[in-house]
Parts: sequence; structure tokens; C-alpha cells
Amino acid sequence: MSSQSGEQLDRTKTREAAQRKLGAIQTILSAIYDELHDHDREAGKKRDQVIAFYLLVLVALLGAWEKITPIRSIALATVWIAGLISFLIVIHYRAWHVTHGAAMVTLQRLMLEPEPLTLDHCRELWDRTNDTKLGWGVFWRFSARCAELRAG
Amino acid sequence: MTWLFAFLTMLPGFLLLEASGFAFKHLQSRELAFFLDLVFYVPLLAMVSTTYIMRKHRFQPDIWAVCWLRPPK
Repeated sequence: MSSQSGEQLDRTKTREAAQRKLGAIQTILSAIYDELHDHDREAGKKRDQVIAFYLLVLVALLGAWEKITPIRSIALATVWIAGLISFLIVIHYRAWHVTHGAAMVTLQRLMLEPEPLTLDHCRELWDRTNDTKLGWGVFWRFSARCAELRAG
Repeated sequence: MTWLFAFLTMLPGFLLLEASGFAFKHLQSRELAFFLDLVFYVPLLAMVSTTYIMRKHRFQPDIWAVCWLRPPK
């Protein structure tokens, strides 16, 4: 009688420990999800600011077109370079937006899946989110080829 | 958005070609310079950036959100 109750106690303890672990994992995943969401929102704001800055510079250039005749080439070259830098920054933020979006959906799936938390499982969920065979086939193949070459 | 922004960065570049006299000296016309910019510069910039963005659709095990799942060394 006492050994049965001892086994039951052990089972209950094990179940409680598993539940605590699951709760801790859910808390970690939830915290990462919130952090990703914040990062994404901040990155989006900064991207919009960069776009607004460049548009402002462009409009200022065109608005002062007649007044800057002596330094027109320098002003144009400066705005052009500023545009290219803004473009690079915007593309960078866009790339991070894609990463954050895919990571958030992957985390949502991780929270729901009973599978163990491993990087391979994470990769599988990420790939399930991003169907790389949809559209832009040439780009996917080109980027895959670049990745292969880089990996050697 | 990528194409639009590429076009927006092309404008000062095209105006520079025109203001510096390059367009008239070597290309004979501003329309041709604009057309070449539109056909080569904008698509090149847009496609290179799109390729860079699309690479980010692939799984990235190094980002902080998932790299903690790596097994310990």
C-alpha cells in the first residue's frame, strides 16, 4: 500500500517537473516572441524615417533647383550617394523584417508543437513557413547557388 | 517598394548625368540617358537587393532568436 502511494507520489512529482519545464519553455518562447515583435516594430519605424529623410532631401533638391546652379553637380552627387546609402539601409531593414516575420511564425509553431526544441526542428518549421518554391524561381535558385558557393 | 526606391535613387543620378554634360556628350540625348538608367540601373539595383532580401527567407541558425537552441559544444 505504502509502495503504491510512493510510486504515485513519484509520478506526480515527475509530472509536475515536466509541467514546470514546459511552462518555463513557454515563458522563454513568449519572451523571445515579444522581443522579436519589438525589434520588428522599431526596425519598421527606422526604415520609414530613412525613407522620409531621403524623400525630404530629394524634394529639397528639386525645390532649390534654380538657386543651386553653381553647385548643382556637387549637390546632385551628394544626394545620389545619400540615396544609395538610404537604399542600402532600407534594404537591410527590409531583410530584417523578413527574418523577424519568419522567426515569429516559427516561434508560434514551436509553442504549439509537442516536439522537442531542437535547431533541426526549428529549421523544419521555418521551411514550412517559407515555401521557397513559390514564385521568383530564378531568384531562389540564384540565391541558393550563392549560398552553396559561399559554403564551399 | 524596392523598385520605387531604386527609381528614386536614379533621379539624382540621371540629373547628374545631364547636369555634368555627360548625357549630351556621350549619349547625344537625355531621353537615351533616361532610358538606359531605367533599363539597366533600376533593375540591377532592384534585383540585387531582392536577391539579398530573399536570401533572408531561408533558415538562419545564427540569429539570436533561435541560436540558443544549438546543442552545447
